[in-house]
Amino acid sequence: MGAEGVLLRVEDLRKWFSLRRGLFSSPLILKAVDGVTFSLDKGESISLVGESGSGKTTLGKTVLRLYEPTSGRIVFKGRDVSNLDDDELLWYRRETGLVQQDPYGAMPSFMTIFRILEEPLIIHKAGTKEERREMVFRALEEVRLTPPEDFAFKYPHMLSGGQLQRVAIARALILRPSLVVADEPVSMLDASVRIEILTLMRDLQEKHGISFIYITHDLSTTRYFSERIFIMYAGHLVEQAPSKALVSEPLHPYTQALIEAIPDPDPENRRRLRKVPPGEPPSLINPPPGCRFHPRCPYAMDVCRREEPPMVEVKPGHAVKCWLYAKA
Amino acid sequence: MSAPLLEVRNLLLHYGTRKGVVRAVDGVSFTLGAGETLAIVGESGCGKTSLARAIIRLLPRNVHRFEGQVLLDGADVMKLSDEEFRREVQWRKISMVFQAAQNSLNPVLKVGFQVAEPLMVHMGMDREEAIAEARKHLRMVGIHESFADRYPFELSGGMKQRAVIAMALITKPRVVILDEPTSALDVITQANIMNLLKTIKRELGISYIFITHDIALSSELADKVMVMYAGHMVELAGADEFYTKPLHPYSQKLMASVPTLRTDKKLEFIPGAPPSLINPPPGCRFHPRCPYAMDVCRREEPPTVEVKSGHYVKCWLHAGGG
Repeated sequence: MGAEGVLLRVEDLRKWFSLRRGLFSSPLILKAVDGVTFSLDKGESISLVGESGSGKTTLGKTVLRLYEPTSGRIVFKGRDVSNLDDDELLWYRRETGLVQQDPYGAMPSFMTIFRILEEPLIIHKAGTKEERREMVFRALEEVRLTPPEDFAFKYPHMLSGGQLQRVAIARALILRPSLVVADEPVSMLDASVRIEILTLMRDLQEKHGISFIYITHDLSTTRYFSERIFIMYAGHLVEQAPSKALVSEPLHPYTQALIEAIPDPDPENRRRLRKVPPGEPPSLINPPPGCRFHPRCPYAMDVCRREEPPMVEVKPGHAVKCWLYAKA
Repeated sequence: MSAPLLEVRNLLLHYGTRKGVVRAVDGVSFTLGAGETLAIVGESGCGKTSLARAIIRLLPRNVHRFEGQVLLDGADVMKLSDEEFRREVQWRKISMVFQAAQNSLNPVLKVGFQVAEPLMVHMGMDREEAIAEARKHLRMVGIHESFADRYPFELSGGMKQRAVIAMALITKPRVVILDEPTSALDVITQANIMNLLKTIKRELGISYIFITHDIALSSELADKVMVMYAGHMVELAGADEFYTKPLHPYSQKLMASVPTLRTDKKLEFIPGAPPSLINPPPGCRFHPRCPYAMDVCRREEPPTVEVKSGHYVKCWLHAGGG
């Protein structure tokens, strides 16, 4: 653990959604996040990697208390934030920020960029009118939308995707939160712009000592932007490790498959088939019993079909939820 | 070498809009051999999809200029009328897998019928025979043929993509255009689809034109790579050469911006954005973002030079004119 100590601790967190099928039938339960435990240091940046439907977005939103947890605890700065009243929630909102995937959808189209950035300041009663103006302009400069006057009075549709995502970052950071969740912040942007935006986020994160949870399906960008990587599959965390170790010695068969699936530009690629498991992630309504990856796993044993594996720390800081590394 | 299967010469596709003429494809030439894959890479808005749509002639209404030659087995199909092209070439010889194809399936029609449709529409086959053929092709792409009687919502994303690939293969075309065929899929599903495309290519000897913005992914299929920038082809080379030694500064920058898992390198990005296709910069269209821009680049458009056999570059650094 870092010297600065723990900022966030998540204990056995669950978020289940009930899907009502009809008036008289019993609802289906979708277990999007199903028993997740981790902690995050002050100023630390982690990546949460998973495929669509793995529950990573739900986990991010539940941690920010945009969703009410079904069970489990979220402890932030030593305070239990899993059950806050409205006043306390306002405090938590000020301490946290969110950057979403689609910047066009995340910004009200009828507001100017200035108004969009000023709004969190108004809600949290930060500064006088003059000071707010100053803060908005400084925020724009920080995300390198310069000169700020050129951007402040435009509307969202007048900006490119990359520029608008900078505005979203500025909005998430304008109140100097301690924790920011960035949910697929670059997946809708062009490959060449992605690195630029991620580098900007990383710079600001380090400059202000903000803790970051970077949610993505793209493992290849993560090690450049986070100290640790968490892998999520079907509502569970299945592996967590320092970025380098996760990429160079992945332990979970799912992590190994994820890494095998990602190409580097190499002319040899066209001459070979990739060894990836068939099939797709399971439904979260009726996940397979035992280890949720067992139907696709090349090493599946008997115990995998019966019992859920425990999370085991194999090396310091490197934990994996797999029977290959645990004793039944 | 025998005559190429497909040869495109100086193809031009401009759109008319209220703001002016959009020069989406502005003089592109290449050849494609039988059983060969050409990958077309570039940022969004560089004209990749327009080039594909020009080749298969699926054009919007606001076409301003559409010129050049498209030789298929030596015959210029640009000379055919729309009706002739639709009957003789479209789907029969050149088919396409569209971007976000999973969403293009009709939700109220059975999968088998939709896969069979090209046979009925373009080949005049009767319904029963066509659906039997569809079942065979579903099996070929790894879907159990019982799914022919299901509706799209009963299929996963990966299976829908496979069904759309079956639809593109069912008329036994010579060339299949793949426009970002895995853009909405997860990485493992993407790798499975790439494996499928490689196997099909090997077994059927089909040619692909593979359009993607992802250079790393392009290397999964490409025998040749074309880099497009602002409507121009800026580099065209064999895969072995391109991925190890790209020559155009834009290609080099694109390669440097690819995050890799297996090697340690510093990531770079290309500052700025691709130019408008209505008023592209004079001279070389990449010069405002190019670290090596010289005077001549700002004034004159560089010629396309064959620096080595089969390796073309459109850049003053390699034209001997700087």
